Amino acid sequence: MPGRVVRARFISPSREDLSPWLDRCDHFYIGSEFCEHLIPSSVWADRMVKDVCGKGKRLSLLTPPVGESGLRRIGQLFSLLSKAVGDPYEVVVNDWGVYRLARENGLLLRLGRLLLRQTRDPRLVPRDDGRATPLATRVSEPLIGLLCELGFRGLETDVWDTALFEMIGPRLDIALYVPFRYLTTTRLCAVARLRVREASDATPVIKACDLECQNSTFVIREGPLGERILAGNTLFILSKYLEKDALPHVGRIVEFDRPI
Amino acid sequence: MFDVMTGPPTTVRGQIRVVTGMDFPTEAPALAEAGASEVYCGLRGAGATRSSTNRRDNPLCNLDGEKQLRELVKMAHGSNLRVQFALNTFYDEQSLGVAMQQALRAQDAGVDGVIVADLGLLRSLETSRFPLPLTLSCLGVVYNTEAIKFYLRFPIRRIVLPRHVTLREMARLCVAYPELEFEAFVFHDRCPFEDGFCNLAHEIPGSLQTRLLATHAAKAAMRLVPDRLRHAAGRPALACLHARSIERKQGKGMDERGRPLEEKVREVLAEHDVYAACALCDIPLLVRIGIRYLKIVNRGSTTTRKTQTIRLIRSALTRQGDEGFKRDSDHARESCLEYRRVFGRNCGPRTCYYPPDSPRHAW
Repeated sequence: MPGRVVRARFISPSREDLSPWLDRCDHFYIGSEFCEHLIPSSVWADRMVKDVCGKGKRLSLLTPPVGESGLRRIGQLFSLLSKAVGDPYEVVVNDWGVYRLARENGLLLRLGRLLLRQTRDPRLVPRDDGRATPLATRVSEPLIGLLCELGFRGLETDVWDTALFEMIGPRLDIALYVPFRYLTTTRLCAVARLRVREASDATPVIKACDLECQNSTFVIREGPLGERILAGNTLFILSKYLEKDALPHVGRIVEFDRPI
Repeated sequence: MFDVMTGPPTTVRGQIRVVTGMDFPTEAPALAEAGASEVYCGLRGAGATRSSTNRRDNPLCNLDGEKQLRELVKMAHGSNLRVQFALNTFYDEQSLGVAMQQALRAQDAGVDGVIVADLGLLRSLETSRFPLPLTLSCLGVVYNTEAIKFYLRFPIRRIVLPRHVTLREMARLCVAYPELEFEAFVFHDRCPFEDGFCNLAHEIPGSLQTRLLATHAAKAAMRLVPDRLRHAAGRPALACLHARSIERKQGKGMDERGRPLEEKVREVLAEHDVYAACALCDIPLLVRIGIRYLKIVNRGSTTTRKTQTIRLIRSALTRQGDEGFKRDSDHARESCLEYRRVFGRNCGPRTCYYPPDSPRHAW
């Protein structure tokens, strides 16, 4: 059973000023889980490290699934952060190639929510995260054993999954992301194509992205999934969440004020 | 690293294998006659949730049981078709046990390999020294060479590349791992979201629709329904693509034509023709960069539609002469005409499996 719950805060790549949060949080998440265009630039990451670590706070780096070029950028970022932070810092891994890179760099590993397969469909798993949802679980003992062997210290989830919490809790630290639950994601980003003249240009991994996702989010209301949020290349729903119910199960609560 | 557009042509005629779904044993001769080399299949779900042990929960896409699997393997082998058994979803403790049992029964039935995505299942198969060759499903999501290196800790022989990997990325992976076999999608079901990271259900297990379709009578009746209608009945429009009522929550601005951005998002989401997606034009490139297995996503389709698409691919492959492929533009033109003949409409960017890196198509 976890002891004190750490309260962490996600800092989106477009945010420049941390001061509103510095007194209220001990731990900050930077980076992106969903898009390689949102991998922090060296300049931005360096400034964040100074702001966060300079105040004695902890830092975790979120990483997305990447192609070969993204992998190179992440490698450079790892080197930069290792020098700036000093101690090994946490990396949330959402790509097995990035896992290998992080492991080689001796970083502290956490399994991201893209690699922690869970059923998140609101038709099967209710939005009310206070309820047990055994349907969500896609985790087995052999998998947990493998994750421990691979050196993971914790994992990240956005689904209230009592079965998962009970199964994993003693061996891996659990971070619960609130309040956005991701449903699905893609490399064919609809929002990135907003500025492209031809809407039908369905090329994966758009080379020139002006990060419109940092300025625009959309709400889609109709359809069997109910209300959902399109932010960048990812669909989310808003989960109802009762903090007091979460506390006994998780070691960390990560608050997002925007989905990506 | 060679350039995929001008790289060394390979003399691989006859070595390219067309992989197709197979839903019942008597399909085998027709699929083989059309030119398929390998089939894949799965078993329908059981238990309280009726979830299947593969990515398709639709009963039309799955065999009814072990007996039918044995028949299918016998018929397929009799028609010189290899059989892959799909265990390509993610499992909890209980369903992992079912998947392991099914893997062993499939081995007994004589299948030639198993398609896997779940790390827990990979670990269990490795521990139990499962003898059949393993194929990593596209749900394993391999975008880079290091990810492949990670998966090679398991005895994987073949990798199904995810739908959103570009041709250039495929070429890099094939060059980096010549000892591995690579499989790429060439027809149907190009979802705009990445299958391996999608947490939505294609069908709702245990729903009235899936229960009705699970009956023998319904399955037999559905085989008489034309493919387009059958597809619509078997699989409702993807829930993720509903976007008629879309509002902008944050930000402001117009697109390049002065329209509100939400209108453009609606258009972009609606543009995907998931079902009729096609990569015929890219078959020369796929072969050149080292893809040896061309996959059609067609479980649940009619045998007629399956054989039509297999023939389209075989026809594209026979356009390979002794001096390599014809110029890409000629091949693309012929492919478009054949697509129109079979599907009754023109192809275009919204049906294109691997849109080129350039902003527009070359022709």
